Amino acid sequence: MRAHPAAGDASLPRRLSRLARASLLGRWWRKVRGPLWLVPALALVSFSVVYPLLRSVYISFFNWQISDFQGGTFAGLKNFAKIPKDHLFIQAIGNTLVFALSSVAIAFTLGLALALVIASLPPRFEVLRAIFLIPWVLPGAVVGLFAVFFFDQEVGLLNLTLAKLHIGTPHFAWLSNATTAMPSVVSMNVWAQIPFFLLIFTAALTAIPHELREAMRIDGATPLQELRYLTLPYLRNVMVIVSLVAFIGNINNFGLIWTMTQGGPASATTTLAVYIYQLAFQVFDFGYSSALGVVWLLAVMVIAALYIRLLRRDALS
Amino acid sequence: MRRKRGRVWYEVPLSVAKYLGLALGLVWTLFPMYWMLAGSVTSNFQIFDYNFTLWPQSPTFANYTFLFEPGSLPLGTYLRNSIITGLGTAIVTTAVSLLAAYSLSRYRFRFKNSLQLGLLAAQMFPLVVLLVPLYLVFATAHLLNSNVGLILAFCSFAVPIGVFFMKGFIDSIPVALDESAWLDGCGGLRTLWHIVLPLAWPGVIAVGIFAFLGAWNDLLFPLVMVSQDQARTLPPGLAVSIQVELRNNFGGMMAACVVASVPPIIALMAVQRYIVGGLASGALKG
Repeated sequence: MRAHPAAGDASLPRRLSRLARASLLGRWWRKVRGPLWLVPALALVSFSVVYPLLRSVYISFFNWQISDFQGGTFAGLKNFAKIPKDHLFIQAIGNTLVFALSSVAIAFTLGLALALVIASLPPRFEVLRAIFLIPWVLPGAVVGLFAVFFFDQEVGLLNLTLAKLHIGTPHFAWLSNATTAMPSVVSMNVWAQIPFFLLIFTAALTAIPHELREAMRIDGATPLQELRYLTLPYLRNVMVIVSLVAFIGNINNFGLIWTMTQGGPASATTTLAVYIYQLAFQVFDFGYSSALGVVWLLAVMVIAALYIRLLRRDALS
Repeated sequence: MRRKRGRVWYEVPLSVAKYLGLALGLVWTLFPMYWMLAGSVTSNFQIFDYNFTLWPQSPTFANYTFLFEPGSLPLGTYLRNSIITGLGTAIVTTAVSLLAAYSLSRYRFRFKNSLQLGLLAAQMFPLVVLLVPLYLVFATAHLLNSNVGLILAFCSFAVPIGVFFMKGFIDSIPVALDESAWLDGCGGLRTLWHIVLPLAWPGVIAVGIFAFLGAWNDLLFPLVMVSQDQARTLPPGLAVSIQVELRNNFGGMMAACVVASVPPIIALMAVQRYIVGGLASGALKG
């Protein structure tokens, strides 16, 4: 009788395995074949995440600009010393936080509201969910280009509508005004992100035991009490995790911002992702942009650690 | 008592509010897409004549034919590259994640949990930070301006989440099925192929589609790694061409957007049945 596969069964064809089971080779094979299937995944990730990560740290200690064809010269901590004096970097951090936090907050609220509405409607409305998900799968560049058209100074629908209603300044340049550029980008981003929250909250809502809801109704709870004492407490863990995931996704957002404003006007929408891209591939300051990347990486690692702890706690409970 | 079940004073206003919210949500979601479509069938002349209305007066496909004419932007090439990299990424990602997820789900070995967490953490690193070293690596390996290079990179960004999701899926398939195959002398790979895979199809399709979407939608990476039209995918193609060929040509711009949006929408419709139940719970609970 063979044992449970995980307990160390032979996975070679029978003849070979009978031969091998007793031998040293067989024992080695049994130890190795499980992790073996992991190798392609690990190889891919090492090639384009782990190795570049380490090399990024290495490059950050070099003075390496476009004129240095063969790689830079060692600069010690000079790149890092420049960071506190870099006003654009400070501004980019601020922009990133404004962009990510306001996007998450607004999309979270609207997505949750929509999920609650759809969940409370008769099941035949569920087909609508597929429609609500569409903005989520559109490329950021497409959403960005649509926004360029929509917010256009001359022929954008927004300005045309406002002109018809005689509101505001005619031909207002939403995307090249330092005050309105960020809210415009955020509003478009919210449009694209609501479906993600809708999706996760819908899934979480279906996990709430139906008996509890029935019991509350029989006891005469109002819908508001049901929301306050049953639904929201059940969603609490999901809320935390989904906010973190969305926050990390948003600080990395590039496609939408780049197509809408390219970080302009006057760096008003330059987030960290845009700033580092510009430094590396428009200014070609590899050393300094890597140093900024390393600092950012440390920040992301703190967030990631928090996320993993939450996931673990969730898995245990 | 006023509170007879099903007949309370707030019932009518509440359901009115619900349907109103639903209608608002639909308009908010659909209107931008409608406007994109409407713009794409309006000639640019009409657009700049301020002569366009909520419903296109004289719809025309001129914007679409313009996109594929020689001498305008090479949209056909962008489309081809996007399809090749998208499909390539989907295929490689599903194969690699399936193997890895099977290993994590069915075998016990040292460092398994750390490897799993490591994979999970890998997807959190900001891509921008990796760009400079990745660019140098790709330059040495002659992977700049190539579909293969893009596929390789897209896969490595899609694999971690793919493994995570697929593992959740395989975990839900009873081990007893595997065991009976093992008893019949089926090896690990054959068990995966004949027993697990037929049951894990929805998960495989979902992972493939998400990999496809990731590749199809990414702008940053191909923007850096590709500098020639012949290897450019749609998002960087669009981002570059609004500075040149499509500058102030909003009709053409919207038509290009529609072309780039159709495949992801089809992909979504193909998997939306599995998404809510499968992905969300699997990905969240791990």
